[in-house]
Amino acid sequence: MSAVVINRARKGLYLDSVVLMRFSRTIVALDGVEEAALMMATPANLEIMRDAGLLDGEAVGVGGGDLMIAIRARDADAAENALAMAEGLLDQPRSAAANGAAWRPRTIRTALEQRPGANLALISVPGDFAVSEARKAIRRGLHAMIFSDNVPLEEEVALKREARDLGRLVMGPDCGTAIINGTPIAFANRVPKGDVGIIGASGTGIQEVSCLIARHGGGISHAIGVGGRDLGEAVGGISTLMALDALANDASTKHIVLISKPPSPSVMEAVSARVAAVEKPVTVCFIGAEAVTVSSDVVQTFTLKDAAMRAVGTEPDAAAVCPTVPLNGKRRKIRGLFSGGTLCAEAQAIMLGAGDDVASNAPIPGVSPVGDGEGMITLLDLGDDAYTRGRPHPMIDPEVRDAPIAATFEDPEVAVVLLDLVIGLGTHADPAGHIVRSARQVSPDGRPIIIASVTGTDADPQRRSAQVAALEGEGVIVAPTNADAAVWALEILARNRTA
Amino acid sequence: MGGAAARVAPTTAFEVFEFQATRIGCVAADTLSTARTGRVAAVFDGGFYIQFGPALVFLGGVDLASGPLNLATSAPGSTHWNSAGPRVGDPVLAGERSLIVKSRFRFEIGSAPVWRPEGRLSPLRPEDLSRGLAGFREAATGRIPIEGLGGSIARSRGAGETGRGFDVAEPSIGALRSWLIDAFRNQDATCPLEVARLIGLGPGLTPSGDDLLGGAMIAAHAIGESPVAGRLWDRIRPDLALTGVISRAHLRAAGDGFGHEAIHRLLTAMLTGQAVGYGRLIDEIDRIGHSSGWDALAGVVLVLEAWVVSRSSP
Repeated sequence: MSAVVINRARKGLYLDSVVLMRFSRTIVALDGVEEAALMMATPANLEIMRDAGLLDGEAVGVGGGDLMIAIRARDADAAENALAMAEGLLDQPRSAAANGAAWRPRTIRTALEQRPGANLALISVPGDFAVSEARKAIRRGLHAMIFSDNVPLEEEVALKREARDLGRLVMGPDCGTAIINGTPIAFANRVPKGDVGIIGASGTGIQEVSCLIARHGGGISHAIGVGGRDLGEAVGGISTLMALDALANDASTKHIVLISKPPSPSVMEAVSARVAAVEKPVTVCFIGAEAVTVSSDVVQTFTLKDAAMRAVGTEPDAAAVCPTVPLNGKRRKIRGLFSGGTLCAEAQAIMLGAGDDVASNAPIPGVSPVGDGEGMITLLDLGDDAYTRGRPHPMIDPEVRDAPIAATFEDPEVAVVLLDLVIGLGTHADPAGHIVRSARQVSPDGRPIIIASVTGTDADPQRRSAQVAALEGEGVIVAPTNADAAVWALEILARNRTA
Repeated sequence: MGGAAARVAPTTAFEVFEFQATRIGCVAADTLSTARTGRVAAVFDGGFYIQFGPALVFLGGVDLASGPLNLATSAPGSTHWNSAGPRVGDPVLAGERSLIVKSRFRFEIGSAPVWRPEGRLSPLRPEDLSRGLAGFREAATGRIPIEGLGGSIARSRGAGETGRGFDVAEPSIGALRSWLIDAFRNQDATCPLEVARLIGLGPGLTPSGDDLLGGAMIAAHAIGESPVAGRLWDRIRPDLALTGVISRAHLRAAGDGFGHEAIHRLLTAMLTGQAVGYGRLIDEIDRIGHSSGWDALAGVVLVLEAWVVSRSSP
């Protein structure tokens, strides 16, 4: 049987060289293909192809700006198959990022063509493009989760208003965590499906509450992130209110938890009114807020831990038993180095509630900004933009915390260092190992007491119990929750003051 | 969680993405100084070509390297232009201060600095050049891609590292090498017709033969042998129609002595006799197309070696 040669020219098709070479190799490797070339149809290249027995005729009417597909195969079937493959490769959206990987749609339109039943788009593009993509999504009937940050506030407002008019929910911008119908999205933890619905303006707040609910035997129906600015005056809580309505009408949700920093006054009014109208138990946790009165079915808590306990029907307990540890020397200060912004805020709320002077780079109401001077208690959110501009978030790359941790470990005035470790999908593979390596740089006798909490579950890739064991092996005190860690820090300091 | 520096200007009907030009290649700057209307000629992940008559400008984001045709902008480096919107054939309007692509993207170009490679090095000393070439060769060992004409760098010294297209190109490359040695000694030597057979030869968006010729002209200009570069260009120019429009634009720039910044950096290192430290420079060459950087380097090395030979006794 003689070989079959098949040619096809694509007029004016330019592909970058790397893509061309990759496609050529793919075709040559196909079963039954003896030789193949995808080359610009210049006269010189046509001559090469002719000499190689790759042209089936005179290649009339093609030129240097055209792409020639030339295949020689053992039979017609193999040649046609290779040609179809080549044309398929040329027709698919091209991306160097997809090098060797399965084809993935590059636009929302083509993604929807592939998955016509989809109803949610996850937008993770540079902030400049995020609203435009989200708008495409909501106009095609999708809800949108915007992972991107750096979205102008006025754009967020306009997008959310349009989405509301279309009956579509926008989660974000800067929404890092969601669990929809049991499916974790972005930075989330593997928690059981259950009947608690969470609405959160913060990612780590949702993670801590969902993990604590799981630890106490509960599960999550949905966890909806709304973005840190949603409860501000400009946005007016559009997504929060829509999420409340959605969970109120969701049959699988029996209890709703709402987590946020304190909303602006007018938004607080609107949210309180909507919460009061929900015919399900609701727990609100506005971290750092004063007590609010909503209705008898609504419980307000002041820590994430208490919100989780309420959600599973358990009364908030006292802090777990704090271990007794002596302080070294005259150390008196507490330093918190957090990767989670809401975990930092929760610690501030607890320490402020204990009557202590607290300073933070991300202060809640009543806490001083760190720029006003060093206090006895300083709690830093190292995931804040000031620390992560141009660098990964410390949940992804713990090295961001290395320098502040090293400086704190060597500070002779620091009595207790508070650390949070947030594990789960998308985060660093072994944050505990990283902390252990940092701790080993300083002798246990010469460093402060380290108290940590680990937000996560044993179903997460890093396994919470393994992370806890690694920390405890290095002498780190691991509290059951972030709130307990903050309380323990205060207790240890208080005991040693009175000792 | 992502990061970006540019801004978006919404309008009631649609959004216009606005970015600042951050650097304009010297040839692109000349093109934009007179061009008024053009069209998108090709779109890749890293940027897109805009055609203004016979001239081309390649527009990309903040990570775009400097090159004579390149227009770097503040668009985020992670932008996939294939997905972002420009399509082949989209109209482009060029004003004195801005470039508008299909009423969708607006690029402010007025205040961007113009990139131009450094001028020729003088005086050029054969011993420096020999040392630089030796240092480069040592660093390049094992790194030359099998495709394309980069193999001629090794072949010219008798090593066996050659590309698949090299056999076809070898007679033309040999003719070019011989002519270059003659031309550096004798300004009247005529560039043989055989050299033009490299045009449009080989794989890639810009065929390897074109890249090699481009590299040769860039190097000839850089060592102060512009008349030789001019005669090579005179030989190539009548046959430019034998290659694609994108390759033609790059060849025109090379004919004036302008190439990718990585080529110029490596060239400068060799001309100044740098013996070590080529690793990072070669990394940059690796990032130019699939084999285009190496194809151009093959032309560069061809010229430099011919010049060294021309300075030895005949």
